[in-house]
Amino acid sequence: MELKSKRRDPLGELDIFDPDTGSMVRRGLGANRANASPEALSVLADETIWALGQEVSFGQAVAQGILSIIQQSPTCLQTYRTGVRTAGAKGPTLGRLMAIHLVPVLTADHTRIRHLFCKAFEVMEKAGAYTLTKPLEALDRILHGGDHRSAEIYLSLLCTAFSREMPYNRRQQLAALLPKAAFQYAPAKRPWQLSQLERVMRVDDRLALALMTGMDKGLDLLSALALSRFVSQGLERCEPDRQRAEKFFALESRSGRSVFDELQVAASFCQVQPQLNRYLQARTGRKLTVRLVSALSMRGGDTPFDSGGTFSDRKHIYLPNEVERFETKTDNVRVYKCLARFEAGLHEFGTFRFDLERALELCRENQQCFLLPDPAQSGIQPSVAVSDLERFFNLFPEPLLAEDLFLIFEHGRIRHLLEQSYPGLVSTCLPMFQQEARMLLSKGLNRQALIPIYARIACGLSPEDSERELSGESRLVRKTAELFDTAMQRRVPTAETSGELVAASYAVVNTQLDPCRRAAGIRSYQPLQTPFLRRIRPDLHQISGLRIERLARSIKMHLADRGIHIYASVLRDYLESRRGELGTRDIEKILRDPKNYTNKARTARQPICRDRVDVALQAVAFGTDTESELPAAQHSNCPAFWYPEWDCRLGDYLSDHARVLECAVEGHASKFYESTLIRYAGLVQQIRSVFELLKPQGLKWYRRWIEGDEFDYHQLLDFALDRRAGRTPSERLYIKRLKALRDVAVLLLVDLSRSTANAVAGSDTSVLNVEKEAIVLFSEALQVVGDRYAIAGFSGAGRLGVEYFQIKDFSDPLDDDVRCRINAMAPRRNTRMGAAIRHAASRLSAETCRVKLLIMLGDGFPNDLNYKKTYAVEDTRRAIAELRAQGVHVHAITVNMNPANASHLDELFGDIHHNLITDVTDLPDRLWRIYGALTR
Amino acid sequence: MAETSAAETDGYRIDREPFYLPAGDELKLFQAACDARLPVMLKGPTGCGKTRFVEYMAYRLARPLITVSCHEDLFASDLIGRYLLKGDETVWVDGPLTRAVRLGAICYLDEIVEARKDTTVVIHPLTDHRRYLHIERKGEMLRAHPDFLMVISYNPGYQSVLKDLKQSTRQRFVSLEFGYPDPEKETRIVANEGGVDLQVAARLVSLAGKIRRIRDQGLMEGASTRLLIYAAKLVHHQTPQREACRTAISLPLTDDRRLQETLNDLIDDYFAGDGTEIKTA
Ligand SMILES: Nc1ncnc2c1ncn2[C@@H]1O[C@H](COP(=O)(O)OP(=O)(O)OP(=O)(O)O)[C@@H](O)[C@H]1O
Ligand SMILES: [Mg+2]
Repeated sequence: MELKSKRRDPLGELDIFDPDTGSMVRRGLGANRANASPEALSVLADETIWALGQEVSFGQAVAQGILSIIQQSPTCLQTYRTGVRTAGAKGPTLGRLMAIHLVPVLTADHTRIRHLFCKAFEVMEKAGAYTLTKPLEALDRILHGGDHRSAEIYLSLLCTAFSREMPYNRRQQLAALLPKAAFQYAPAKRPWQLSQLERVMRVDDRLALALMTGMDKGLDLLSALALSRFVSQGLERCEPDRQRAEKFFALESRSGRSVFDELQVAASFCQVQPQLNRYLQARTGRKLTVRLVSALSMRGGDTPFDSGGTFSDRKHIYLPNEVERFETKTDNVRVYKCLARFEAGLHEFGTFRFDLERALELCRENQQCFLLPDPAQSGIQPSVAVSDLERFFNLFPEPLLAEDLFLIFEHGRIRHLLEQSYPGLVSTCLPMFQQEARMLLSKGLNRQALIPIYARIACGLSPEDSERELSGESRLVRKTAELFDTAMQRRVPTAETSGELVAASYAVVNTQLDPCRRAAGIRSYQPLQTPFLRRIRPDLHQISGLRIERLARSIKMHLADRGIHIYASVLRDYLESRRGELGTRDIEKILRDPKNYTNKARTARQPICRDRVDVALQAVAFGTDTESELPAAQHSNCPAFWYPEWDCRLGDYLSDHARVLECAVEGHASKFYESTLIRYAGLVQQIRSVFELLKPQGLKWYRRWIEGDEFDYHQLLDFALDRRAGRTPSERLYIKRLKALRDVAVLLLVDLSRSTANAVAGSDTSVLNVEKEAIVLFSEALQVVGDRYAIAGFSGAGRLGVEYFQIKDFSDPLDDDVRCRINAMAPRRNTRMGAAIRHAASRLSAETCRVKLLIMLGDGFPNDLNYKKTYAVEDTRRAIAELRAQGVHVHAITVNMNPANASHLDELFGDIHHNLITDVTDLPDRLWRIYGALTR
Repeated sequence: MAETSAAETDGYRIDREPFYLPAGDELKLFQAACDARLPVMLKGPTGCGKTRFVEYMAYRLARPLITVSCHEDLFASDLIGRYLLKGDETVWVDGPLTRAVRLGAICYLDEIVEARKDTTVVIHPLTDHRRYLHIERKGEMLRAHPDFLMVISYNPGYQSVLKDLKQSTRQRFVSLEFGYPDPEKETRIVANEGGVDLQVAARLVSLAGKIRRIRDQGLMEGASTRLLIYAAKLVHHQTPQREACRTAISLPLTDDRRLQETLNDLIDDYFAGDGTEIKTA
């Protein structure tokens, strides 16, 4: 009885003190409550109550903190308690910070880290409590990732940084930048990157700031040794001249850049991206660009390729973030190039056009093939998300082995075809793959029995080379290679040929691998490791084109119902090139080529009749546009203008169909205009001098004229001399002055659709922002040359709500109002191009200049409610044609669009009347040049 | 009509048949225009065979060919002719256009847009049903020889809106459109003109096809047949293929280093020599 009453009920006390926190603690304890010692519970209650007494949030933080370490040793709890008490004595804010951040430190259970943490906390507290928040948050994250090494270095960096004397501003800056840096650096490199940062910090905090800037600009690519060398060189410069060293570290000085270039051997994705994209466009003529592997894993789901790897989907070739395989940067860049060049071969030579039906037909024709079940017999409709290739692999007992065999033969086939079309490519790139293959070979073969076959077939390694490392299996390699070589001699090997080879070799390889696998004690199949981890990923390719796949299957089915049997892959190809629209005419074209028929059709010998095709196509439901027209209520006060629209289905205009509202633009005062001029100071200078030359001088001089206002003295002299010599003198003795005029009015019409809010790749600015910068430079150029110009934006939603924003009218001077309106341009909604063009035309028609020009700046195709695809394109083309008929020149500039769509732009604007600028950051430098060329 | 003496047309005659591979029915069309005495405009990018075509037609029709390259300082008198002082006398000398009109030659005005606006006007009466040339200085109305034929060339790719041809000029011509020949023909042209075998020629043509796809990325125009022939000629004269392509194709096309790198990568795909050994890190 006695005892019992003495026994405390700490949680009860807490409940009485603050019921909210009490119940929070109970919830937090949950099932652990039984395991928590009474001592621990008292500490929990006492400390929480004490902290709650100072401030609620402090108390709660303490409660949370103790809850998360309640399982740990009593000493640990004691340390926590002392730490929090000491900090809390100086105020609840400090106490709370300690209560929160001490937890991960204690959890890490690392003496040195604990020690450094206390020291750093003290130093930073002295420097000003504001320096604690952000840096400690970053510490939590590092510790959470289990990176103790970095945490240690980071803490000592914080100690060094905040024990230095420096002005308030800079300290604040460091408090923001240090944690950002620590978190940004790649975990693999972070320890030595941070320690170099600390090394510099010990010398001078300004230099450390500069180094962080440099890291953002590319120093992070350096290897440990290289970075340390770079820092040494920078510090040497600091002695005589600190500012020079700052420029050096920030990669702002030429010497900084050149030392960096020398030291840098890693090639990064960003550096090669534009180059590779341009190459791929030229090489394949398709919508194919490079992308980071990590872009894929970020979208969640499987991430088996975190460590790098190369593969493709429909539109992208995925490449590793960084390549540091070789000693020189040139070679590392070359790895990227080789990977992209080989991978492009898959797209060029139709790997993903693999047609299951065709492959199975081939296999059946070939007697030696592994007996495959016919998937059609199963009667199961396969999901559209499963590609023909995967379905093919699944027909084998061990699909992974089939997949690897396919990889081998397909890479071999591509190599073979590349050798024929691009001998240079193969002779530059193949040695690299061979070298990698040799390296893999020499690593031992227990687990990777397929490597020698890959080396031989896919990398074209000579028999001596690939067999040197093995004894028993050399027969297998030789036999498979023979099989492959014979197949390649057939006309043009296709992806289905590779499939056939898989079926032909599967059984033999499988039996040969078995004992080898058993010897190594491996039960499950170990996928093949290829040089640079190149894979074929039909799954990714498939999911990036489900719409086409669905259509193709549905058309194929409907045609088959009517006795017409053609390969699905043929339909897929057509659909893809027609952007998903397929007509009777296309099908007829397909039917004309006997190669497109499946074997079923060949045996059936059905006559084809057009009606049946028509019916089949009608049966395929094409999605129709069901969006409704939105009323544009918010624009009730704007002046409205009605325009006709061209309906290509009718072949006629719909009169008064689109309503353009001239919306007032609320100006936005900011430094955007000025700062753009400053940012591009060099360019502005250049623009001025170029346009100064274009500017008509009122009168233009023509020398050597036959009649004129003045004598040309040089010519007079010649004349006299010629006469004396008895030669026939020239009669071009005059200078004539002619009035020269640039009688030009230009309207710049900017598409403000939603997509212009998209971020520019590799930066945090938007497409529209870059466009606006270009507009600033454009205005400057026109100001110099003195042409009349206007700027307008457009967007809107629905045919009744086309918005037209007058940024600068022809008669407006370029004043602050206009500048503020340029600032205010912002992304809106859709792109009903035709109506906007017609309105711009009415604006231009009021001008009396001899030459009128409409420049359209946009980032895509016309698109609005009930204004899509062909309909939208045709109306826009009409509107442009109307303008051209009125003698207005129309020129379009499209930014940020995949170059592969360029041909569609040709359709829209006429091939010489538009420019495509894939990288929008080129626009500021291109817009004025294009204008210059247009009016030269 | 005045008979023209052989001596006068000397130097304007094309004696040997130029090599020309027709792309479509341009020979027939040109012949028809010629029979109907209609002036002809040849549209197309630079180096695609316009000049060669005119030379070939001049040979086929056995007419003298007088070519004038137009430029900003080209005056009417440069085309028509002028008085010169000879001793104390003045002597009239025909300009190329007048000479062609008299001789019944084909007058080929190359890159007509470059000429001054007021100059283009003198060809107006020559290029409609009137077919005469007004020589103001002499007060002469010169009727065109029945065989006289006016041909102009025009490259729509140069996009200056200020230098567009006037409608009244454009609409006096029938137009033939020229593009790069299709790959199979272009291969034969390059092989023939450049003196290389068909395989090398085919690679050059395939390369050009790729380059033409990225015209939009900053190239003013794609690689012309002419440049391909240049590259082939260098190869014929013992230049290594890769060097030849760089010299004749990538450097002339652009000054932009990044673009050159792409062009060189494309060239390497076809013509790079043996790969050099790479050291592993
Ligand atoms: N159809 C063809 N047949 C034979 N040769 C051709 C043909 N097309 C082009 N060529 C070759 O291309 C070269 C360039 O052609 P040409 O000089 O006629 O070009 P162009 O169109 O007049 O160019 P520009 O507009 O620059 O004057 C010629 O030397 C010729 O050898
Ligand atoms: Mg020419």
